[in-house]
Amino acid sequence: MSGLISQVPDPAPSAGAGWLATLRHEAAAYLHARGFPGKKHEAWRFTSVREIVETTFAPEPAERAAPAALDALGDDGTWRVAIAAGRPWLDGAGAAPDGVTVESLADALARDPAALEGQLGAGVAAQDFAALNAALFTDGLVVRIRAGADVTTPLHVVHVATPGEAPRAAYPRVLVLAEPGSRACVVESFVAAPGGSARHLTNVVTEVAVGANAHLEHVRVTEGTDRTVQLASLGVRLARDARYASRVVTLGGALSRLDLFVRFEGAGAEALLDGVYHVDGQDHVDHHVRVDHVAGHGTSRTRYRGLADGRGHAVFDAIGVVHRGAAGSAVHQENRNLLLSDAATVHTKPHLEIDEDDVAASHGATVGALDEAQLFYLRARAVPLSEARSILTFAFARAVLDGIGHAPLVARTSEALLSRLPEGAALRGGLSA
Amino acid sequence: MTAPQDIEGILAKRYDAGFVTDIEQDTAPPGLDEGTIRMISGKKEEPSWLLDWRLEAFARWRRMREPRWAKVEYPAIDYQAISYYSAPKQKPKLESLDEVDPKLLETYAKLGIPLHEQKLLAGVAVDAVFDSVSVATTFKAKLGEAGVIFCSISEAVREHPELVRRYLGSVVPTTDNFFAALNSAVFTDGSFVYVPKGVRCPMELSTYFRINASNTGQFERTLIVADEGSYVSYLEGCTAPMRDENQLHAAVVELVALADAEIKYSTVQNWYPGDENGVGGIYNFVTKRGRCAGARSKIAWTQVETGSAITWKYPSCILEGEGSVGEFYSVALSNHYQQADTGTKMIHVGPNTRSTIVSKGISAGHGQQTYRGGVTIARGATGARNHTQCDSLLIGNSCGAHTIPYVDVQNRTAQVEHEATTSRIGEDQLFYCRARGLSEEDAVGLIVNGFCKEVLNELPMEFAVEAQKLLGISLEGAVG
Repeated sequence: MSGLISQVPDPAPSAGAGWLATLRHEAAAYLHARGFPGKKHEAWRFTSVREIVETTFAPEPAERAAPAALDALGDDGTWRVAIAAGRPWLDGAGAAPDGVTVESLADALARDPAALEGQLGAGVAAQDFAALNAALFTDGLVVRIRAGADVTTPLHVVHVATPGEAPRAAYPRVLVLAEPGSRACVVESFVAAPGGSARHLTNVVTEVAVGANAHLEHVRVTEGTDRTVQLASLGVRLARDARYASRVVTLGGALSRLDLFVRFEGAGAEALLDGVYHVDGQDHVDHHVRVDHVAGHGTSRTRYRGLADGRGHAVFDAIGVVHRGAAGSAVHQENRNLLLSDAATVHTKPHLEIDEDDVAASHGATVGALDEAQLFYLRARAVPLSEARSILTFAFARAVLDGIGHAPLVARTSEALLSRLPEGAALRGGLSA
Repeated sequence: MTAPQDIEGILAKRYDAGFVTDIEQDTAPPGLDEGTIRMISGKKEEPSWLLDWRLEAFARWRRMREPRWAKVEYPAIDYQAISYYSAPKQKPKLESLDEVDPKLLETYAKLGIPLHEQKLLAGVAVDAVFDSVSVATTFKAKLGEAGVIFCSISEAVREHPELVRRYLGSVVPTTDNFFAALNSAVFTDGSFVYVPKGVRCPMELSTYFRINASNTGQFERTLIVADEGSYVSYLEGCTAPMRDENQLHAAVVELVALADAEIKYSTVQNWYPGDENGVGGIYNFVTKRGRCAGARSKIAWTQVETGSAITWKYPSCILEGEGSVGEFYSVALSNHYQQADTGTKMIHVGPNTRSTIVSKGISAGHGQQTYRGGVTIARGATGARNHTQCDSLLIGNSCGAHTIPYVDVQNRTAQVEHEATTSRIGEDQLFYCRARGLSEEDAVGLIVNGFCKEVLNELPMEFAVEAQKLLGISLEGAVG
């Protein structure tokens, strides 16, 4: 047996297994029985994982992340903890802000496994690559924002991938529990350390539970390289009157796939799901967003903007489901794409499944080029063509970036995007401020 | 609110076209094998190339699996329990309409088809297909003067083999999908239209399909070729008797538009939808596709789908010619336990191609409605343009409306827009109408007609009237 499946232990149930062993066992059994998804699976039609599935990845050696990768992020006024090789490196992080406890997942499970029962595995079903993570994760983070806490410092989890000379993989798992009435901002960044020539797989699952009346902003920034493969799942559960704002920024990657699941479990909750993605070269970026309105009177607004350049592929797929009984739900989906080259491809599928009549649902998708009239306007003011294109491209994405609630993060993500655009460096001073 | 007894009365309302014509039928025993295909081909006195074509399709079909990706649920179909050939017994050759079995003419009269020559004024040339065979084509002489060929496809195979051979399967190949392969193997009849260069067809052409016999399937095949610079408008209507078993309808329609030609294809589909408990009804698995082969050619699909227990249908356009245009206008209604998975595919291949999609879905009762559409802009489709609008209306909280659009773009000069909304009938709209003395039923009818207007406007006038009536009837009992 070779390839990714060879890493998955045989699903022999261990005697007297607890809930965690059952979860792992079921995930392994699922993978051995079903295998990994291929192009015949609707959710994987435009994203081939064959090459990845056939690769045998060695676990990343447990080494502290290269400081260079963290330094590159600069000082963005966040409280930071790094995850490398699938485990957190909390010793350098200092004390967490008031009202927050951050613990290694392995420690939390060793200390009191019952406390996480019903939380771990509840946000993301163990299917496809989430099953791989469930079977293989060894560590990660538990972030708990205590009831009623108002945390002003963003909590920043930096996932650092360190590619080697042979394919490596890491399987971190993050659990964010925002207790009732709390307010916080969680940031997840995915960066790669320089060096290494082989593929690096980050197979990450993040589960978020937003308690009643809690507010959580969740920023997720991926800076991919031609060596990084990210197969990520993010599951969010919303209790009554919870507010959740997601800002996803995905900048390239050999393959960056995110499956985002949002479930309205309590009435009156609200989810704003914003995203922006950029592909260039041979990048392949794929976002799948599924929103389930199980409880009524919830509002979800999905708004993604895409930029496709070079020979890049961008895939966007959103499903909004209003279950029977979820009366008063509002579901809106929007996906707008700019095609910037002749060889780039965009696939988009915003899609609605409505089983309740008391709803307001809409979706829209556009794919087009930069507006010639706008280009002309800038050129008539002596802006060179390629600079004019970058200005308009950046402005298109900026609408989403500006939504991030923490100014230094807006600046950092803007910088990261600008550095990928032609002439972007020249625009930095004037535009990112 | 409407009184409960009114609603019960309305619910009990029957499907108008649900009668059975008691006519002697020549029906083949159920079952499907190579012998069945040879029998059909033999009955139709077909040339050997067509028999070979059918057999090849059958061989492919046997290796194919029934598609299950559509959002519809139905028990497995036993393809061996269906009779693949059924025809009214009659004299083999007909000289004029007078010789058509009067019972048949009576059927069509009940359905309101202007089949008889006394209804010349209606000005529609009709080809009527009864179960498996085409029974009569009116206005042949007048069309002949213009050079338009309008006949049943079996006749076309005999009289115009070169045209049929050239275009049959050129848009929907035998291997296209499970139901198209089945149709290619066993198709029994259908219409054939050829409009020569530069001719504007002098009247609207129409086909009426009727499934009469029980345990039969209808597998008709329509082929329309519009030569350079020509124009044709084609209407299709369908009905079937009420039966409590499900009947299969797997048709294929192929359209070819050469340079500067235009084809307008309109359908009012009123197959028996099953009763209010979801018993019986037609399974409508249809493959419809047009090829805009020439520059500046245009194909427009307009459909009003009120019937069938299950609809699985995606009239599509392949836009190859430079500047060619594809249009799709659709109203689909599913009431009671009807399920519809329908939409379109616009495949932009040539430069400066344009397409418009307007789809209106209405779900009531336990109806399930899915719009599934695809817009593909190929690498070479410079300057292509698409606009899609699909709206769903929900009446009652036991139905479902789903919208699944696929957009794939590979050319940066393309502009593709998709918008969709899903909502129920506005309480304030209803209240407004009710306050002005309209009954709830009438108010809903009015609002639904307004909702569909964009599409109904695209239908030829006599069809638009029929479609409006049909929508009204199909919705009855949905309110309350």
